[in-house]
Amino acid sequence: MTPERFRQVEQLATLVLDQDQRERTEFLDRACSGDDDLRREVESLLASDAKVGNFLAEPAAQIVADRLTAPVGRYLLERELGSGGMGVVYAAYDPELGRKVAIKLVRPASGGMDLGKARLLREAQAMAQVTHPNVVAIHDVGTVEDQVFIAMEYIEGSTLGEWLAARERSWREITSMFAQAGRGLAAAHAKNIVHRDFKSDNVWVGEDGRARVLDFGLARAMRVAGELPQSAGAPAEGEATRSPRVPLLAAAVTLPGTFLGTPPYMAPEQLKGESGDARADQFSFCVALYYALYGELPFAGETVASLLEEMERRRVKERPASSRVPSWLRCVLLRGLSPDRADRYDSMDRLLEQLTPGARTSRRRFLVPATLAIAAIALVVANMEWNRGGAPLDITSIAVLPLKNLSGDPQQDYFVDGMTEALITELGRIGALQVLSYQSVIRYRQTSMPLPQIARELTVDAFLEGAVLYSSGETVRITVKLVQASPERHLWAESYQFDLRDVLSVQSGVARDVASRIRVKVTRPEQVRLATSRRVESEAYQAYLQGRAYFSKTMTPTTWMSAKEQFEKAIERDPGYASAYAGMAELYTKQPRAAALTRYPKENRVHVRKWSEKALALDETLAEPRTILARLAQQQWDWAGAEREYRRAIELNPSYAAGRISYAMYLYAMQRFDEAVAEARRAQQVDPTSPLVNTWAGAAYFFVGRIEEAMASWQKALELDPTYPDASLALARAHVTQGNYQPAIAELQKAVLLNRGQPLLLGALAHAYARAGQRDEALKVMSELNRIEAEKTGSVSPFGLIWAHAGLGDKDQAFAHLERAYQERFDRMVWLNVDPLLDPLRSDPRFKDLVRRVGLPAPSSPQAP
Amino acid sequence: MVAPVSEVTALLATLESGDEAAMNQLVPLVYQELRLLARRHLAGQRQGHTLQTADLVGEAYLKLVNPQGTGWKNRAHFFAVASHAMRSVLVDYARRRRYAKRGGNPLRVSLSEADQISEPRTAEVVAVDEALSRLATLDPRKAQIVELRYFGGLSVEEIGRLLDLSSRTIKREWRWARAWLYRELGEERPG
Repeated sequence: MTPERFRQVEQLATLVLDQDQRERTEFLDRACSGDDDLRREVESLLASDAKVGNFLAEPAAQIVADRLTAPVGRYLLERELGSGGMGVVYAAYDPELGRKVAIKLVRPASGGMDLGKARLLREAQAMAQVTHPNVVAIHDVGTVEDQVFIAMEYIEGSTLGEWLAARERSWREITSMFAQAGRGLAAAHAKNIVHRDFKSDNVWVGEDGRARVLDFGLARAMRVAGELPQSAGAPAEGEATRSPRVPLLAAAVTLPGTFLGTPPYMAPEQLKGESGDARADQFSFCVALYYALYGELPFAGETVASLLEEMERRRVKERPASSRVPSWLRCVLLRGLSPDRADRYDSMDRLLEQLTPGARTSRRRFLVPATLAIAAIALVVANMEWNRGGAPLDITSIAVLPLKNLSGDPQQDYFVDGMTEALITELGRIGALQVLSYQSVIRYRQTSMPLPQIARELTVDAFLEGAVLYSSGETVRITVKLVQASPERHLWAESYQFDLRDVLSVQSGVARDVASRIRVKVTRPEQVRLATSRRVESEAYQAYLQGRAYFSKTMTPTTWMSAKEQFEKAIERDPGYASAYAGMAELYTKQPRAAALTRYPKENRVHVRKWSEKALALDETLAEPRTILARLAQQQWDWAGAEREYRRAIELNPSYAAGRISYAMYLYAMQRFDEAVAEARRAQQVDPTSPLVNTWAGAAYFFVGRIEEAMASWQKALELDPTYPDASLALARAHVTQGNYQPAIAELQKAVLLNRGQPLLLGALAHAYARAGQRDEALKVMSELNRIEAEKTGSVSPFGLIWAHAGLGDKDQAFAHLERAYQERFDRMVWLNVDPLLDPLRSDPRFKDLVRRVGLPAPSSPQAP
Repeated sequence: MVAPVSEVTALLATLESGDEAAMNQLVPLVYQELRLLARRHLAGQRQGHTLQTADLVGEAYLKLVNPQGTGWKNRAHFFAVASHAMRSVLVDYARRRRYAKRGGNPLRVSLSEADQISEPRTAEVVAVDEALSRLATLDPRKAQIVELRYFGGLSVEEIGRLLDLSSRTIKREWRWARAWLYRELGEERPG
């Protein structure tokens, strides 16, 4: 088996489980369509799945060893909360006091176990003496085997390091949180306890927003006794080469002759082997705060020796140009970072006084109003040279050219293309504006074609061009420029910088801004729809765009599964994000294997419906799921329901070409040809380069006798995709209607060749031969068709056979297959009244009965031109 | 045991920047550490002492990596590496058990618990390991998920975060991987 084959087996197995129990066999029949090997593989995988029981349920380690239930002291460990340089912290339960506690298990480093243990215990007991809101309360200490445990108060929350990383924090938030931790340090200092390893990961921030310092003195207690007396001393000769490398950020390491600590945070005196006093804590505090504020450590240094040198020479890094941290705050930090402890503040309290903004009345003028800092979207007006005279601009159609990816990373193309598509959708909500479809503009992604030429090709009045800067993280910048096409004139430009979570409101905001610049009328309901303020989780948005990117690729089992994974991820990360559900619905209409056979395999309609409805329940203004529901209604012969959904979809997004063309197809099925032409024309205007739109628009023109326009549309469809079978079919049908059998035969022969004997094309070809009087040829094609039918069970559209039998005059056969198409609700049943290849059957009473059962209006004879 | 803290941390950073070769250098380092830890946990501990993968991996992490490193991504990479190393440790152990039964290999880890381990189940660990190597040629991602979960002891959510996929996807991958392995172990499947 190949990986691709395995993926196919897996995809089918997944789809089988999606089906209702009773429909699974039938689904497999269709999906495997005669590929017995495939079917066996799928069935065998499903059988194993059903028998799997508790196989692999228990992790391998459990099998290899026994389960531990032994308590630590009197405490029952529940789960690990995290691990740090000093040991592992567990959530535990104290059965005697009936409360939750946090247990830290500390293992003294190897050697001098007893000494280490005794020291640890002593330090822990000292810590227990400090009672302060900003110091973690110690309940109990003890030993278990070779480990010391410390039982502490249990608080839901995170480390200060995690708190900092959770989202962007203002310098005020950061400073105020650190000030709390600083008060905890000060309280310990008052009892002559020095922390010696202060850093943000040794501070716990509770959900109550209170900071609590952890692990006082543990660093010293962890001193490796064995290495202490002999190898201590001053930094030895050859220090520079022997100096241990400093791990990137904050490793807790044991330096020879000193204490376990975190070099970049350690005061110079500590790095030189002294134990350090309260002023060493002050230094570490300032390093940690510096890192929190500027995102980098104050001193560079790859080794302990070079770090020490930087510190002693006061070589603090330059402040980053983008930093908003006020300069007075930097001055406070620099003093705390003095190499000579005598130059630092006298105490933590003195430092804290300088840090707390309340104490700094003289510097009030530096303070920025807090409301500014939380503005969700920063607007930077780059350029506004638009026509201020107020003369109305005559712009009714616009193309959004593919936004450029400024990140330089092709991995981000999906994101930039997704933003392009989203802008098109948002602008498309404005009824007074024709917005070119994504498919028709994406071709210009790499083009160097001048704008006026693109404008002629797309027949638009204006362009929106732009670029996106996004690589990772949360901030996105987009710049857009509005250009009138002829004469080419720059109308307006703007740049938006925003948090990725605000992307949805920015997209509609851009649409609103464009509308106001070109003075196009936006109706009240449209304004409401464009005023979305929903936030979206950035991971969900990215996953959604990645899923959508698969729609422009060829659907294989692998791409189908990959798209499904992305939409599932989007839904999981943000269950309220409607578009992700819509993507899922659309995906279920695009199944690779089945797609070639029928458009919606009937077993999956239930999923298509489910996902569409979920999407609409969250956002009823999405046009795509409405169109999908309209097509489902059509398959239920619910004509009124289908029309309602189509009209609503078009109202919600007047530039949605797929909605318009589907509605046009519906309308001529209803024999409302003039309306169909109007919809088709609009679809063609917004999506001029779609073979599908051109093909069905051509059919609409043909029905109202606009033969030349019809022919031009089909020619265009075939230019865009010479193998597109529906275009050849439409063209051939027109020839047949006009009695021009030879051109029909020629067109179909070519298409059969290009599409390797596609059954619909073969059926039409047999029909054309029979009508042209070439019965032998017709029968030859017919036998080819029968051969294909025999190979692939049940899944081939019956219309090939219906057309062939109709052409040959085998009415009984034709009606038998029509009955099957009726039972299985094949799409093409919709055109019962207007399909010229069914003309030979039309006078039969069975045909009228079928029309009645499908619920279509009686044919408005005489038949179309 | 002097742990190559900075080496492991630096390799993890390299791995995060997309250099897969770092994996090959990391695995032996982590394997070494895990093997020592596992032996200490298994041998000479009192009755009922556990070998919990997460503990061992966590302990190895603690010893080998600067925990602040570059955030959880780094930690996640470590867990991926450690799951791979853990697989070797556990399979080695399971194999040793089988040798021990046959010939009294001196490598035998003498523990009372070991005798409670029913032979077929340790054999299963070895069989899964072998089948997993075959699965890796067919669908590397599924094989990795099994490794992380079955050998590494990671939860579905953790694996989802590590591989940047939804839990639903992980569950589905796990489901088909498990079905495939179950079939693969087929008749040779013990017990």
